[in-house]
Amino acid sequence: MTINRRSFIQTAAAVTASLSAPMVMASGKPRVVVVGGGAGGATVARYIAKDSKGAIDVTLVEPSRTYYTCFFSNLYIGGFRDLGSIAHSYGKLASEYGINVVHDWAVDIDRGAKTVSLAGGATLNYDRLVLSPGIDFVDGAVDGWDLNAQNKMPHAYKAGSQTELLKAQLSSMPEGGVFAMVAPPNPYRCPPGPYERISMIAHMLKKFNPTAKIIVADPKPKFSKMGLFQEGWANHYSGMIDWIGSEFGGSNVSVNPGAMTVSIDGEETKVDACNVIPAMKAGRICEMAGITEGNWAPVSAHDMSSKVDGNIHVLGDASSQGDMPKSGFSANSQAKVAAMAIRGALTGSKVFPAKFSNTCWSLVDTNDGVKVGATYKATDEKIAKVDGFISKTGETADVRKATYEESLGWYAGITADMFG
Amino acid sequence: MYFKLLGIVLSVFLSNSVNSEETKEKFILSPSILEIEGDIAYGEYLASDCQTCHRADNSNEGIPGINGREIIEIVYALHEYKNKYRENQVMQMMAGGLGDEEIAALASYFASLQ
Repeated sequence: MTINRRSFIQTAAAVTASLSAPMVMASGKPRVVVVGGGAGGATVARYIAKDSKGAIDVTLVEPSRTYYTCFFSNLYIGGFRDLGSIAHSYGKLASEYGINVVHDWAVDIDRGAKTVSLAGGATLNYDRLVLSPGIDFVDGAVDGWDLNAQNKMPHAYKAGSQTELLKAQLSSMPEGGVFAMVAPPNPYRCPPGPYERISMIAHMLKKFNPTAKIIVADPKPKFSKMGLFQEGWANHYSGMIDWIGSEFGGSNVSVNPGAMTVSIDGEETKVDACNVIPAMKAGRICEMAGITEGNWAPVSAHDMSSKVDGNIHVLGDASSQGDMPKSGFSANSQAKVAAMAIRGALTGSKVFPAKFSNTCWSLVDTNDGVKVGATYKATDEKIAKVDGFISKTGETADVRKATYEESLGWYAGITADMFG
Repeated sequence: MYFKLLGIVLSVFLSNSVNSEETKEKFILSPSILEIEGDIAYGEYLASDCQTCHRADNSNEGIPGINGREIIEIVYALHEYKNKYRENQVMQMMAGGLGDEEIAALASYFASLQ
């Protein structure tokens, strides 16, 4: 082939144009943007990149450079893990899976133009968008508390500095001091989470401050694994924990972070440390995208696509999907269904019927692990529970130890599944 | 192939019968289940649910690695969990939701891994 001057100029002009356009335009590949790098987002990004073998460009938008898992953060409070052991980087997703990891906040979504705007000023184009932003808190959910008060009364429900802060405050409680938790109403992230946390705090205080007291104000009449936790609290932490459910005024709560007081059903108590876990909603970007209904983003059970916009998939805590609890395991399971559906839509790869599963392990005391789990299927109405199990009260120490050891295996497994 | 399969069946049977304290009846699968050819692509998708716990690098921390095991070993294990012949609540639940074809697909996929 010979190149005359005219065609050379045309070619040169085309090259210049493609260089000035974003790289994603130049590649011509379908583009997936994932917002949120937790159990849903990191998993979906990794599976799409891994299984499409380069046929899909994947960008992951996550503000944190180091991700602290919420799961097992209670074990850090209890002294069973150090903080570094629940910290993960996105390095492998970039270097081994070719994912474009962008540490920035998504601040706007234009569903018509199919773009995501970032706080840093850039705009990302997508063919499919995955929102996996986790949770935010409902304004005014606990009388007297807002984000300005989170240093005095931490929520510690997004792991990292808040978790460290809560542990530090617990560690510096005076001898015989009082710790209070304001538990959240349903639905919320990690149903057994507050109660595993109470167990871990009791474990820590029993060791270093055995005359300290724990009060839980709960807006619910019952909670996840209630029988198992109450059995464990009676066995290991007798007399330390006062759980006040909704029937006893636990839903009538206000806090005063300045004075460090908690009022439960009109009775005011001076506290030395306080963990306020407010009511939750989908991460705010879902609301900004206009895909929420109430506090959450409803999705199809078949592929986790938004019921408002089929080009957007919502994973994990932020989604309203049916019977699955809001957990890291659930988000990870949903991510695999979404990854398969997105690859199918963008590259024509085979799509199999959706299947989901979840198991939540909780630690009550040293080597005393309990678990609850279920399998699920997709129906046109929702993600529907198929089968499930829960640990039994009165299990032997060997069974409980094996359950705890299984949870260690799961942690290593799911974090490798998320971050490579 | 058939002889190899028979040999493995026999060895599984023998290894079970070595345990003199084992009073349970032997768990035997019918040839029609053992002969199902697993769809590896379907197995790869289904396996993603397993790999939340069973690590892709095959390490054995708390939960065993299962990559590269014999097809028949995996088929037997999953049917034993499904029928509650083996203990473990999570595995009984996970296997309980699997059909014969799905178990064959998973076994073919995990056996193909290193």
